[in-house]
Amino acid sequence: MASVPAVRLSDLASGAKGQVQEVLGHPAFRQRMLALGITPGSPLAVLRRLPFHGPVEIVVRGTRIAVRLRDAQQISVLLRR
Amino acid sequence: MRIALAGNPNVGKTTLFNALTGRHQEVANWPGTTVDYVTGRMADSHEVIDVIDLPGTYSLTAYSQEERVALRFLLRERPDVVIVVADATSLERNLYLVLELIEFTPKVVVALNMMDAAKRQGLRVDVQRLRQLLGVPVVPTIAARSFGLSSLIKEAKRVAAGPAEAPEPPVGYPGWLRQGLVAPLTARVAALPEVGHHAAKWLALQLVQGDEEVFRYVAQLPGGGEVARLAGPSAAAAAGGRVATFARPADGNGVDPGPPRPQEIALIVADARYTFIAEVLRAVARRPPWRRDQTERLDGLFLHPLLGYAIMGAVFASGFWLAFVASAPLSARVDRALVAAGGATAAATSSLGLPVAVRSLVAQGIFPGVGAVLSFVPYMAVFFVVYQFLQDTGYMARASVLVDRFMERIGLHGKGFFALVSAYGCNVPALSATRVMENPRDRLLANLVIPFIPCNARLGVMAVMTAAFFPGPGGALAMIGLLLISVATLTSVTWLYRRTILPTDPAPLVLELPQYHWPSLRNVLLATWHRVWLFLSRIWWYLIWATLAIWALTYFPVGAPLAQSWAGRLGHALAIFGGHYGFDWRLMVAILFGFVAKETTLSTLGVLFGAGQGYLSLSHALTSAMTPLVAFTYLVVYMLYVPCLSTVVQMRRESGGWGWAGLGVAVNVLVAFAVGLIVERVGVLLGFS
Ligand SMILES: Nc1nc2c(ncn2[C@@H]2O[C@H](COP(=O)(O)OP(=O)(O)OP(=O)(O)O)[C@@H](O)[C@H]2O)c(=O)[nH]1
Ligand SMILES: [Mg+2]
Repeated sequence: MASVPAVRLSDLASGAKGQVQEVLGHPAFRQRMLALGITPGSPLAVLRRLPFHGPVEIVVRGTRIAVRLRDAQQISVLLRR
Repeated sequence: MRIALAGNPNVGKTTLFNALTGRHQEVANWPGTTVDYVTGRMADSHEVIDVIDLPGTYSLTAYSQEERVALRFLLRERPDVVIVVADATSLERNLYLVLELIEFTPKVVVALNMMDAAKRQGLRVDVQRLRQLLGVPVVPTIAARSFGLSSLIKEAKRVAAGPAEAPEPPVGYPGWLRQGLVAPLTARVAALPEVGHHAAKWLALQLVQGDEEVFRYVAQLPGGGEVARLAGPSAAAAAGGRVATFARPADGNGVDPGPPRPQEIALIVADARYTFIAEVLRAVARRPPWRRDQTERLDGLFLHPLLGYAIMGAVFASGFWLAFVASAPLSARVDRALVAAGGATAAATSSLGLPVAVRSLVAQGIFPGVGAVLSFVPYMAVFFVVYQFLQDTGYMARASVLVDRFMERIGLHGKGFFALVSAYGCNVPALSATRVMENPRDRLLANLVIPFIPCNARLGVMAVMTAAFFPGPGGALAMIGLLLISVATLTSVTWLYRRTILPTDPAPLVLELPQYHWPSLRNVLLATWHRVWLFLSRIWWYLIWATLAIWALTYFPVGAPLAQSWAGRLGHALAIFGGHYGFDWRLMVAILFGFVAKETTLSTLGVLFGAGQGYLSLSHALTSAMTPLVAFTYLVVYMLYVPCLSTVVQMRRESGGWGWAGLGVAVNVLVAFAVGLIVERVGVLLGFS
């Protein structure tokens, strides 16, 4: 597992599945992610990417969440193969 | 007895609240904030039960203004029971707040709501087992159909009357955290007045995670300052340096990681909770394999890269058509009724032999004032029905996601889009619609720039004047030019605010996309009623005085022609300034009076320019009195300068004080006249006159 490189959420295509590896960025951002259940190890799937570099829509812990592309760069994901 | 309803956003708290309390509701503002809260009273044969509908929160750690409000209420007001409403179809995320509340207070009842939707998805929940694992009552409910309410209230009463200390909260945190950090701090916190042992543990846990709101709360308790400081910057200090020995085992290289920082602790706490939730769900919930549900299918359409935007255009267009066009006959009816009532009263006052001044006061002062207040009602009511419908169905979240990218470019965000677009209809409800943004700074910014958007009334004046001055296709061009100027002004002012006093908050935009729900009529109507009522109750006072002032300005000195009335003299004084733009006293008076209600500007101009009835007469009077350049400049200033009085009052309410509203108005006036000057100079340079 450790040999699989982590990818940024912002780089994932729709349909990709994986696990959250790490959330970086401002404390307020990380705190928010925690409350929404985006914690290291939680499974995540990319539902769709909005056009014009819009937000990424993901499913985490049974909830759909849209994250701005810029914020999605702060979330690294271990891909499941 | 007091019951607070807590829960994640969109789980059915308000639906439950409305089902419990019916029409016995009162809306108010949380002290010091612009967040509304609603309290209601339940009809119960045994005792008076007050219910409070708290704003939606994802966790008890305050992040948004709504969350701060909810936490503050729970901390300081101490309701007898907290009912946590949890969405059964999204249990994993919803149980997080449930766990936090169980740690916070022993008086918790869980309402497992949306059981109908869960069933439709084929999801099965073992309620008995869930109850055992959580250690608090769990009652399945369908708030939208008032199902399960009586058992919910029964359990709430039982819990309220029960012992103060419930069994230990179920989540197990690592030993070093519990014993090393939290336990010593708990003892100190529990010794403070008004904090019980149960809450003390939660407070201590929050303190070591660096929760600022809890820090402030503890610090203001008598003797709490010292305790809070202990936990403050360095969590290690709280445990008297013992943390290091309890800290996580050294990493692979044998390096002692040192005392954990608050952020790391927050991560560990969240992780422990979610691990526990995963265990619980394995034991109680049976979920069928994931399949494309109805929400997924609808999102395929509504969030489609092309179709999505087309659908959004159609949805918004029909929404605004309903609110601002279809409601027009209603407004006209209100108008006619008032005119008739005004006439009847005038006749009555004259037959009573009252002095002329009193009759004029009634006919030209009081009735127009009441009319100005009531004219808002029809389209505000329809607007809020549309707004609430889009919000409750879950569509608004989709629209926000679609446009977020464009809104981000101008320094705002997706959730503000509807407010901005609807401002072209009327600024007043648009300001209320900024509420959906959870970040107070974003909300404030939207409030400050929305008045630059010309509303229905301003657009009407603009249309009439451009048609008069620029016949044929020129009129359309002039109108487009004006709208472009307004958009450019809006974006530059937003940019300026962002660079100066309102920089972007580091907090992210995270939008939950809820399941689609068919909204309940009761929810929509009650919310509409609350909003319209709040607006009217705040505005009528100002509007009546303002129309009375206008009446007095034009009526006195008695018998003087308009040019010599107080209004005329004021206009002449202002014209010294307006002269730079080519505006004479009449145009200045119309600008001034337009502040009360922009709708009246055309009739004011008509009176001032001595025009007869009808459009032709007015346009003739106007075109013979000023040049097209002056007219265009006038429209630019008129479009941008100050929103109407109702907008200012609403701005004050939404931004939380006169200070911000005052700033907004000042910026409006300055920008309007500055842009007007530029337009005028450029026009002269280009050879227009
Ligand atoms: N199917 C179903 N829908 C429900 C139920 N309860 C509420 N709803 C719907 O869910 C949507 C959201 O309900 P609200 O009561 O506004 O939710 P809330 O928790 O007050 O939301 P916020 O105030 O935004 O935090 C509405 O469209 C309701 O009609 C339920 O038991 N079953
Ligand atoms: Mg609500």
